[in-house]
Amino acid sequence: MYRINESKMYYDMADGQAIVINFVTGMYYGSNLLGSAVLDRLQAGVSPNSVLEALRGLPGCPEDMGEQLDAFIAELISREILIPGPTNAEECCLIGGEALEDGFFLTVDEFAEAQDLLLADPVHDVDASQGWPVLRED
Amino acid sequence: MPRISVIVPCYNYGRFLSECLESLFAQTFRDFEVLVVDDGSEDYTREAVRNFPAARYFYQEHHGISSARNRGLREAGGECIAFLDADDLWLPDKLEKQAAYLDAHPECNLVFTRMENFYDGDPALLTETALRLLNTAEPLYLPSACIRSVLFQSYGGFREELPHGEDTEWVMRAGVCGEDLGNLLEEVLYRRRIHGGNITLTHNPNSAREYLKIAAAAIHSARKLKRTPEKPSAGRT
Repeated sequence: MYRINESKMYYDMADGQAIVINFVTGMYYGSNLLGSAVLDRLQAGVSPNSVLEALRGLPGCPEDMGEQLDAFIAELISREILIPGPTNAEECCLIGGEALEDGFFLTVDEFAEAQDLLLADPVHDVDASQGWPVLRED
Repeated sequence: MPRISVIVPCYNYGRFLSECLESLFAQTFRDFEVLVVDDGSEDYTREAVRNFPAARYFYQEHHGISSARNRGLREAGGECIAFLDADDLWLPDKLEKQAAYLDAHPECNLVFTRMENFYDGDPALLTETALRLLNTAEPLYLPSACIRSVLFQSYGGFREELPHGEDTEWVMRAGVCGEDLGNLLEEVLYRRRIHGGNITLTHNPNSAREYLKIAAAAIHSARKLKRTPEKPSAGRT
C-alpha cells in the first residue's frame, strides 16, 4: 500500500483535483479527475486491487484498466510522490461517475510554472538586499 | 473615475488609523479615492475616520480581512487598486511613483515597492517572533502594490476562507496564471508596523506547511481559472 512521500511532497485535493507540490524542486503535479480520485484513494492506503475493483465497477471501464493503473502507480513512485505505506482497509474506495467527466484514463502531469514562487517562501527565504526571486544562499 | 482606489481594511485598529490615513492624504499624487472598510470594529475606528471626511467609510459585520478587501474591491471605482493596512504607513510619494511607473510601462499590470518594518513601542516588549518579523523583508508584499483593477476581474478577489495569507495566495495565483510579478520599485515606500496584534505574528509565520497550504490554494485557484472561461468577480475565485 502507499502513502504520500511527505519528506518531499505536499498533497492537496480540492474540487476533485489533486495537486502534489514537490517543495524540494518547486515542481508540482496534477492529474485528470479520474487520476485524482485514484491518487486520493491510493495515498489514503487503499489497496491497488480495491481501487481496480472500484474502477471496473464504473460504466465503460476499458479492458486494460489494470495495466493503466499499474503504469499510473509506477509513475507516481518514480516521481517519488508515493512511497510504501500502511493499509487502510476502512477507507471507502467508491469512485463516483463525476470522476469520468474528463475521460477514462489516468495522467500524471508536471508543472514548472510556480517553481520560483514555491522554492522561495517570500517571507523568510528571499535575499532581502536583492529581492524576489533571489534566494538566500543557505 | 479616480485613477487609484485605496482600500484600507480595518478591524479594531482605531488606535493606528489616524496616522495611517494621514500618510494616505499626504500623498503627492492626488487622483485617488480612499475606502475604509470597517470589518466590525468595536473600538473607535468609525470616529477616527470621521476626522477624514474625504474617506469613504463602509461598515460590515466581522468576516475577516479577505472579506473586507473584497468589499473594498466591489465598492472601488478606480482604474487601479492599492491596499493600505490600517496599522501601516505610506511614504508621501508612493502613489506618484507607482502611477508614473504604470504610465511608463503599459505592459505592466502591477508594481510593488520595497517595504520596511518598524516598531515604535518599548523594545523590551518585543517577542522573539516579533523581532524576527521586524528583520524580515517581503519584496512581494501585496499591500505595497499598485494593481490595475482588471487583474481582479481576471483573477478574482481574495479567498475568504483563508484566515491569513490571503494576500500571498492572491499574488501566487496571479503568478501561476502567468502575471509578471517582477515589477518592483527599489525604494522603500511602504512601512509595516510591527506590534503585538499583527496577523502574521498570531498565525505562526514560520510554518512551512502553512505556506504550502496557501501555495496549494493558489495553484487550485489558478488552474480553475484556466479551465473556466467565465471571469470571476471580487470575492469569488
